[in-house]
Amino acid sequence: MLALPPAPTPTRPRSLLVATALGVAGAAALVGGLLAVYMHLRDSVGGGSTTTWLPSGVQVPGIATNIMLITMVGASITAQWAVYAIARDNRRDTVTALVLTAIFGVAVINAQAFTYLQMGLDVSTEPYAVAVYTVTGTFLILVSVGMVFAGLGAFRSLGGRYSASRHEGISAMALYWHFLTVAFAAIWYFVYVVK
Amino acid sequence: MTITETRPEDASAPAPVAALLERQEPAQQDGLVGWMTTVDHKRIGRIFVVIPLLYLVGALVIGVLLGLERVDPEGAAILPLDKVAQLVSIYQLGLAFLVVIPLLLGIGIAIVPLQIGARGIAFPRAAALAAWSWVGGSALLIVAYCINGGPGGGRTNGVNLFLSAFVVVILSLCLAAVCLATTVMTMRTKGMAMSDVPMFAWASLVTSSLLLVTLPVLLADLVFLFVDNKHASVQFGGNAAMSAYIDWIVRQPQTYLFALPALGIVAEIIAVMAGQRPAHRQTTMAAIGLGGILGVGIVFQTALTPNVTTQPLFNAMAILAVLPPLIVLATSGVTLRAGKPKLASPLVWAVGALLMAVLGAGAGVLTGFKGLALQGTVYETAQFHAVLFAAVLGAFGALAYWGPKLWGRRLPEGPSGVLALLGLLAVSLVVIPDLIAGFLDQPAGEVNFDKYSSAVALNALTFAGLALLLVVVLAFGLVALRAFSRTGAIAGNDPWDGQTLEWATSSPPPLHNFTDDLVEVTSATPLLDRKEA
Repeated sequence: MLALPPAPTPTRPRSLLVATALGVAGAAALVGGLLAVYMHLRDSVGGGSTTTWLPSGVQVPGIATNIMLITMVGASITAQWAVYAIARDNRRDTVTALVLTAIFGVAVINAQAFTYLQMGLDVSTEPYAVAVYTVTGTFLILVSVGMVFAGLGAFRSLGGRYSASRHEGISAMALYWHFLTVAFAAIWYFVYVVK
Repeated sequence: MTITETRPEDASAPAPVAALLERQEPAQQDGLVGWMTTVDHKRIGRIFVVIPLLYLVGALVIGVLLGLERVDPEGAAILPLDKVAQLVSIYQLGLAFLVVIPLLLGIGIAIVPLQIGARGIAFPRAAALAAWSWVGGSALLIVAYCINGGPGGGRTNGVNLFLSAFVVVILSLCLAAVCLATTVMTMRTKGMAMSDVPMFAWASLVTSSLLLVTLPVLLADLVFLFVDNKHASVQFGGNAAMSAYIDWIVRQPQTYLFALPALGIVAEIIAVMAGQRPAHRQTTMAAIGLGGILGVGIVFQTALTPNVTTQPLFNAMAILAVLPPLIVLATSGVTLRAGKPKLASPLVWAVGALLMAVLGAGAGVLTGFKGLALQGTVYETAQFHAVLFAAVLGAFGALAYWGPKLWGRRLPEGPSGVLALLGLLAVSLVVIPDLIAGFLDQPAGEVNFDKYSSAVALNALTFAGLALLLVVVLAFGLVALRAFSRTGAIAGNDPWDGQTLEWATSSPPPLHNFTDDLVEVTSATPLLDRKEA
């Protein structure tokens, strides 16, 4: 009986996952920093009063923002589904889950655009508008990065680059989407609920 | 029954990884294209090393001009008064973001993979992207100042360009930090536990990881400022108030984090020059880790928290921050005492850096005491100088020490040693008079202060120190240029009788660092183990 030779050492073991975790830490600091400045401005301009901080006539569309939060949770679930599927070598479900994740990202961007239209903010005159556009606009950039991540994962899965034994890229993508969901939950609370 | 994937003869005699890698990779291209497309971490590191040194000369020229203005109490003899705020701003931000952070990251990118026995850096293309985008961003940052941008600038487009370029610089440094930290975390050679990584690699890991949670906070401030400045200019009081949102990044405790890799460099050099295994190694590692934590200054933003320097947390951190350099000083002293130190130039640079780090952190203890009223005085400037110039001295020590691994040649010991001593003298002249002038209430960032004319002699000393430092940097550049060019003396593979893996390969190393597969590492000083075996 012949023994298997030792498996070759991976050239970049866990590197992508670790790098993504570090990137997530940085992105979390970014979102935290944005929310800190947002709350500081809210307190300094509105003195803690919602009526002063929120410009008169501006309504935050609650349904749209709640749907955004639900969509983000959905994206997180589908991202984890992709990890589950690839861990079982189910490439079809993996690609489906990744495409769904990206679609959820598009839906969030669409809902945010709808929210902007509904609120009708004037960025050139309202401190509130500057703060809202800065926080949510930065978040949309982060979502776009996540969509690219999911899209790349889908293409690489189709190309057979991931398998049950090697799916670090999918796990990293899922980690990033979980972060996005948590980050949006914080933004949703501070910007849309606390106002 | 077992399936075999390879024929038995292949399994019994596997090709060395190094040989396989050399066969797979084409030879590196020369010229600009070769440098722009390189995936060799040594080259990427050299980009991050050489350009910050050029910026250091520029920053010191500005520093000398500002110092000269301060000698004359009337002020405004050379520089227009309305430009002083911008010059102070570019000087401070430049020293941090265009010199110290990239220089130490660059040395890390070039050296750390060698130290941990890795074949390269994690994500080499991302690291190259970081290097070149930093070059572009830093150039735009300077252009922004030149067209009247920057904090206090009078041209809106210039200010927008400054903010955009600053964002690019920060993103580039974050990307480089991700690559470096990931390399240490995931690419250590077989057997090397995290507790066994060389001191500089450890310091680089701590710094990179903590840069990733602090620089994005500055990024958030910059994005806010950009949106406001571009569209509204209603929130932040225009350009005038910009400094309040970004000045925390160039003040203690944040500057401690920027200089932290210098402590790793110092500990590394001193152990090798003493010819001893580093004493109390775990204690030194803990001190460096503590230094990183105490260098996180994101909660001390002046704009968000007024009177930040009088807060108990700030004071506690300022007092504790003196511990890491003191501990490194103590453990280095024990190491030196136990061995027979070689009086080589890297040791002189390292000792100078360590002394200045202790002075800087020690001076920082007093800044928070309300009764001393040192806030806003040149005492803070002196403290900033002590910390960042300690990092510069440490970086020069690193270049003298690891020069053979970067360029294959070594600096001449005589000139390098003399420059190290002059460098320490220059930095002392920059720092100590300003520490005293701070107690005389001389304001920081101003050049026209009639009522503080009693400090003229002190200001003259500071000016002399800055001018001498500029001369030292220029002379070091010339010596390095001569030595590291083809006319310099060729260094051996292990010119310092090193202890760690970077000295187990040729000088300069091949593309994939090691021509032979490394044996399993069993301690923090694997090369020393092999020599003693």
